[in-house]
Amino acid sequence: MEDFLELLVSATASGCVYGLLALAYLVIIRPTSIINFAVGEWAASGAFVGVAVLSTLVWPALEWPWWSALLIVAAFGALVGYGTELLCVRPLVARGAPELSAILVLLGVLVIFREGNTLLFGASPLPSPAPFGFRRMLIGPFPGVSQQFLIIGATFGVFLSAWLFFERTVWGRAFEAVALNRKAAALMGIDLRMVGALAFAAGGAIAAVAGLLVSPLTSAHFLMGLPLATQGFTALVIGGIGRVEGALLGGLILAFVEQFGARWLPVPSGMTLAFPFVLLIGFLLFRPTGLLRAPETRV
Amino acid sequence: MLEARALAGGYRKADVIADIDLRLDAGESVALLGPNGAGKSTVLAALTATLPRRSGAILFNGRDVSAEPGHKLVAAGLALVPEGRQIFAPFTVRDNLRLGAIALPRAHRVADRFDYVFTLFPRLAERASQRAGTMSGGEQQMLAIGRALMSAPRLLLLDEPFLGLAPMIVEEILATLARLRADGLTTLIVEQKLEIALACATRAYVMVNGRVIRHAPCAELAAGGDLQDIYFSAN
Amino acid sequence: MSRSRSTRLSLAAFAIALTMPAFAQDTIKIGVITDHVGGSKFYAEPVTRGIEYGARKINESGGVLGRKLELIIEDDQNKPDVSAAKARKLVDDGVVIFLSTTGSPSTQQAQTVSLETKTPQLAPANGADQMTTALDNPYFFQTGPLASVQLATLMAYTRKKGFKEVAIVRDNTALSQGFADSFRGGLEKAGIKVALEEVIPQGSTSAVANLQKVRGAKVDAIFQAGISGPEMLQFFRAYAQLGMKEPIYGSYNLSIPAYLTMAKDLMEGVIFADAFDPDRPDVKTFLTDFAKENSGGPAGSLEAYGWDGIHLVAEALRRAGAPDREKLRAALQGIDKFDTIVGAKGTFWSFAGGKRAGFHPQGAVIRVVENNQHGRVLQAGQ
Repeated sequence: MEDFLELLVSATASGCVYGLLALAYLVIIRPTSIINFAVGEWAASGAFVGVAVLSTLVWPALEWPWWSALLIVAAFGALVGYGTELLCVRPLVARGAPELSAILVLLGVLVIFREGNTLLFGASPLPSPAPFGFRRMLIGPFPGVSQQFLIIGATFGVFLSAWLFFERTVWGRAFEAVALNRKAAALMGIDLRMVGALAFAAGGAIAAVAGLLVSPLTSAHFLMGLPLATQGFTALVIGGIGRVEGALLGGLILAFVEQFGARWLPVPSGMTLAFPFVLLIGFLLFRPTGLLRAPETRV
Repeated sequence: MLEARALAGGYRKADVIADIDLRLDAGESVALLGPNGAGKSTVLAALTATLPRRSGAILFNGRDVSAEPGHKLVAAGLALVPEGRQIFAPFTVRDNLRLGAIALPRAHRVADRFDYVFTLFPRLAERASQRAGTMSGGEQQMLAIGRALMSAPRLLLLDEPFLGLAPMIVEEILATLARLRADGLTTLIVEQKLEIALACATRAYVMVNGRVIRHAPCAELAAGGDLQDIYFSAN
Repeated sequence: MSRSRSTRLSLAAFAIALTMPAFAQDTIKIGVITDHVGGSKFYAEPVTRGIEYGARKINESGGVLGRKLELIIEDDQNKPDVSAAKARKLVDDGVVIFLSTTGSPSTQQAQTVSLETKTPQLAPANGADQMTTALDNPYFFQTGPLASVQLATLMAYTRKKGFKEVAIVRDNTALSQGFADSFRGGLEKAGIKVALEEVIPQGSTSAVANLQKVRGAKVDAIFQAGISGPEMLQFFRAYAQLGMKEPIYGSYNLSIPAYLTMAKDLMEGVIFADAFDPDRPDVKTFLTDFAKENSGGPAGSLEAYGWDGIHLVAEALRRAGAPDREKLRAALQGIDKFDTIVGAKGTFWSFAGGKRAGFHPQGAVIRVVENNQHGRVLQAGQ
């Protein structure tokens, strides 16, 4: 039973990270229909920027407090997202190019960021300081380490903010409107370009923060982007792109299947690598819209 | 208030509309008539800067707005009620209307606009918290018009607003349009049926195959016999 | 003479004087292939630092055969095709030998150039066993700590412990799987049962599930065969989180200093195989002198390999009598006892009997991590 509760916390923390990546995909896909696979590398960059702010290992070697790193990393991610949209996506949209062109261009952005991370930060994994260390803690009946609980808390905070934004603010409704019907939204006087830019900025910020949160567990290293991109995408497919909550649900389901499967399924240990892909393929084949349905778009 | 000169454009390489000259003065109510595929909706798309390719000049309130992006035109007082209503079905009536006010100029208050629209359309006030997708066709059309009015436009474009509606609802909406005219709103209405155009516009442009072939007061057109003759005479 | 003409003559004389040193004396050109940007950077650069320091000291005491050593350093980015291209460039530049400090695939690819151009090549720090056997290249020499020797030394130490059942933990890279297989072979030969083998896949965000299974199996020790940093960090984190106490035995991969930074405070007491004894007096002297004369942090085993490697080359050159590739090759092959900074006390490098892997079979040591440092030697040799 002890194992079960311990694993519950671990899987929830991992699921939260996957959920954040899925949310980064989602906020971009909803208004623009563009799948941005570069979010994984943006998370890696966020992790490295975090190391640069929190420790002395990387220029500018600041050793500042964690909350400042959170703000800087989020701002960095937003800037990266906005810049990418401006330079790589907007010219395509202006020419009326199909979404596929933007998706391919963003694959190129993925490579640029990964190589950039390698050049700037080197090939060795760098330790990322955890703001509350790795103290073994008990919250209620649940045993875990402080960083896991921080990840869970921060993720719920991000998701709550996102949900409130989309459901309760005018601009959030405007984003939803663009996702439902671009042309009609434009007729309202909603500036589609700005919505696109803000969507990318938000996706960048969320991805970068996800990297900052996960890197104390895994270190900041230049290969971390691709697995995160895959896990986030799988979580997105499982949860569906219709609702913000779906991203978190998908992430949790993926992590639970991975970790509880590894613990209790009578499968050779190496096979656990296949679980995310089995889930991804299964959902794409049999339930491509994901578990949570979007609000109906029938007009 | 609105003037279009030599307006032309299309969605891909070929022009769908060409050589369009239009003019509306403040307070006027004008119709844009023509059969299916004449390019009437395309003209509206050109006027609201949603047409991908466009040439020619557009003046709004004396200002050349040919290069303005669509969202800026709404803020300048130009609103469109699109064909098929295009309301946001999962949102409530209130949310739909609220979105219409996103481009409301700062001088106006959103609460005042809600009052105005709910007074014009009491049925919308009754259903304020209802999901728009569950309303009838007529109610959705009222919502579409109300939504466009939320931005306090001075010129309202309507694309086939009476399509598929029961005669009673058509009467109701015609009455509302008359009230809007009385309040000083300028309107340009795209229609296929001359009888309806007669009831809500003083003059009309007739379009066939992407060009304006006739421009006359509605009464004159009505006296001239069946509109179909005018459509076919152009070929 | 007119003013302008005398000015021109003076300028010409000045220019000739400036170029004089280039004509003064020939150097002996030695090539070095390193990695500044790729995956092998964290061991190629320290090894290269050791080579540079060694060459500097050799030159300070008069050089070799009356000439100075000139290092020509190229970056192969740890890419095999680039490595071969750089090797070719070094050969064209006139090097009498080149040293490869980057990963095995790159060093192997560069070997093809060594064989084709009949240019001696030395891999001073690389321990892959198949490098001298995959290609029959009489010009290639390897002095790195052979994986087989290190693992055999680790197994010798393990046998003394009386373990009955152990667990193996690895990641899903091919190299790690190779280590795990080597561990399994050695353990089973020693009569120790491998109760389970857990894989932490790349991209994992938690190893809690894996280590819960290990904890549940109640083994006597855990053998860490992983080579990928992030996954190893998860292993150490989960081990700490689960409050586990089983001794951890690691491959020589854990002797890489970068892991101490990455898994700070988590590796206390880890036993690992290495080929460097910091308590030897000559090693202590080397480390102190190095720190005094170099910036960029203290030296470790990797710098020592570079130091020993360049000194081996110098010794072979002296025996060869001339900077000639064929004579150098023969001289290297003929070395049967070369004292080194690396390796267990009392061991040396030797190519006797026609072999080209020079590491001594008793040259590996077993060390323990203490106070976030690579600590003392627990056992020397097998």
